[in-house]
Amino acid sequence: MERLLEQWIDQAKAGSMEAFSDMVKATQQKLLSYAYPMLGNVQDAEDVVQEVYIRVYQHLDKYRQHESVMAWLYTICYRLCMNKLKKRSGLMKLIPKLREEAATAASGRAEAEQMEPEHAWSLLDGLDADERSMVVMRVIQGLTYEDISRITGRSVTALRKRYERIRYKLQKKLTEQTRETAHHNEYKRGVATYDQSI
Amino acid sequence: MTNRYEASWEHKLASATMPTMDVHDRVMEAVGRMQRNPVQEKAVFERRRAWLVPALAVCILIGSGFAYLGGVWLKNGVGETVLTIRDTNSDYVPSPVTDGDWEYYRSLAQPGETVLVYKEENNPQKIISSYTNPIVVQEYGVLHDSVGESFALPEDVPQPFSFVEGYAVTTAQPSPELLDDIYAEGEATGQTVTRIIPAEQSETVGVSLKLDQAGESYVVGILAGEHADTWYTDLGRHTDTAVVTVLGTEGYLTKVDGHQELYWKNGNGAGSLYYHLSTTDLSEQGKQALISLLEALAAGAAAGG
Repeated sequence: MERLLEQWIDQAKAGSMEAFSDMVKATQQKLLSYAYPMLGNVQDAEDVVQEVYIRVYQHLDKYRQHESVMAWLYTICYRLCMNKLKKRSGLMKLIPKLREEAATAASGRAEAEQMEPEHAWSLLDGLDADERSMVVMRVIQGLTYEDISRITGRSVTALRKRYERIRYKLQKKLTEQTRETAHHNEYKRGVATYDQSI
Repeated sequence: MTNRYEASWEHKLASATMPTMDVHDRVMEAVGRMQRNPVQEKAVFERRRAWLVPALAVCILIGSGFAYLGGVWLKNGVGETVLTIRDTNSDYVPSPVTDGDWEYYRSLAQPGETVLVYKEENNPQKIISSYTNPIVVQEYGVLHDSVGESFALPEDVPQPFSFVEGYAVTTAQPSPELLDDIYAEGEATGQTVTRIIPAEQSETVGVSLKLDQAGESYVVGILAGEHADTWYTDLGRHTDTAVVTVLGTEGYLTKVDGHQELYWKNGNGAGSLYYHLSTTDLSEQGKQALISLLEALAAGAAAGG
């Protein structure tokens, strides 16, 4: 795959739009599945990934042969996502419930595209941008620590330590969520019985 | 029977459903346009920037009540331009939406939301104006916790000032598709087109504070330097302008339209911050208060930057 990507990049450098198109088709889902959990909605994820390819197109001449194409794409995507999250984070802190309110007020399409709070993605809530990125790269993208190190510029050792801390944090959160759901179901069963008795 | 992995958060996340997304066609359309006409593509980019300026200006002007944008070229001791301001701007024209119109359009946006307004009539440059309804907070601590780090706000309100209110200055960048959609509707109907961008798609570009001291009002705007490379104004309205040095960097003071204002930037490019302070106190005491307020607010930025 990597070899094919390199060929497409070379051909795109020589002016082949077809090769660039093939490269986009082959890689976009990887980038979108990184950007979506990072940013939390389809529009932002698509905007960022589109920006990645536009930057790639504008800087095809800067691609270095010894570098992995996929790592190059991830690096640009990672930086754009972090930049967006950083700019957004202050506002989100200012009104913690804004996401839920915005999702409720938004039109049908936006509502359908917004992450559901009860969904598995809600596990990522509460993680900072760096932690979120780390989890998405490891778990959803299946990247190695070495890959992540190339993209983020952090050492493999530091990344391993960090990931262990996040693992502990998330497993604890999942256990708590499971307990709460079990309690909620018990409560619902109780309400149902009460309703029937009336 | 579930195994340990299936009960783990890794499994839950790895098996989460991803919505259908595809950017191939829009990417190819964008690069196709770039290939066919790089100059025109630059114009599209410029067009997108064009609406950003009214967005920031409106936000500050309306939000702060009397903040005012102005300036000259300002160079530091080694001749570097630290702030560039011209009297006219041939690239950016004023918003075609009048102040009276804004009374209505502002009401369309909930706190945090941005309303985009496009008037087809008498708008040859196709400027889309925007207004972001600020989320005003009355507690300094809340503002500090949310955006304080980005704009180097001190932990406490500088003494002897008291905090009245403040908000994060935000802007939302509409997608090219949304812009095209607005233009298409405007051209088809000839009517004014409005769109609302939700708060969560906004980015914080600055912070505005309203302070009080001995009955005099002080308004502070702090913007990320990248959004304040160049400001434009009518130099003729500045009747009294003087250069002042604050924390080793030059800024300038001016008296205009019943306000005394201080402009200062702590550097250039990414990471720099632009400060604009304004007071209704035209006296020497007001000038000194502006300088001491800037020193207190920018101390963290100067040390960090």
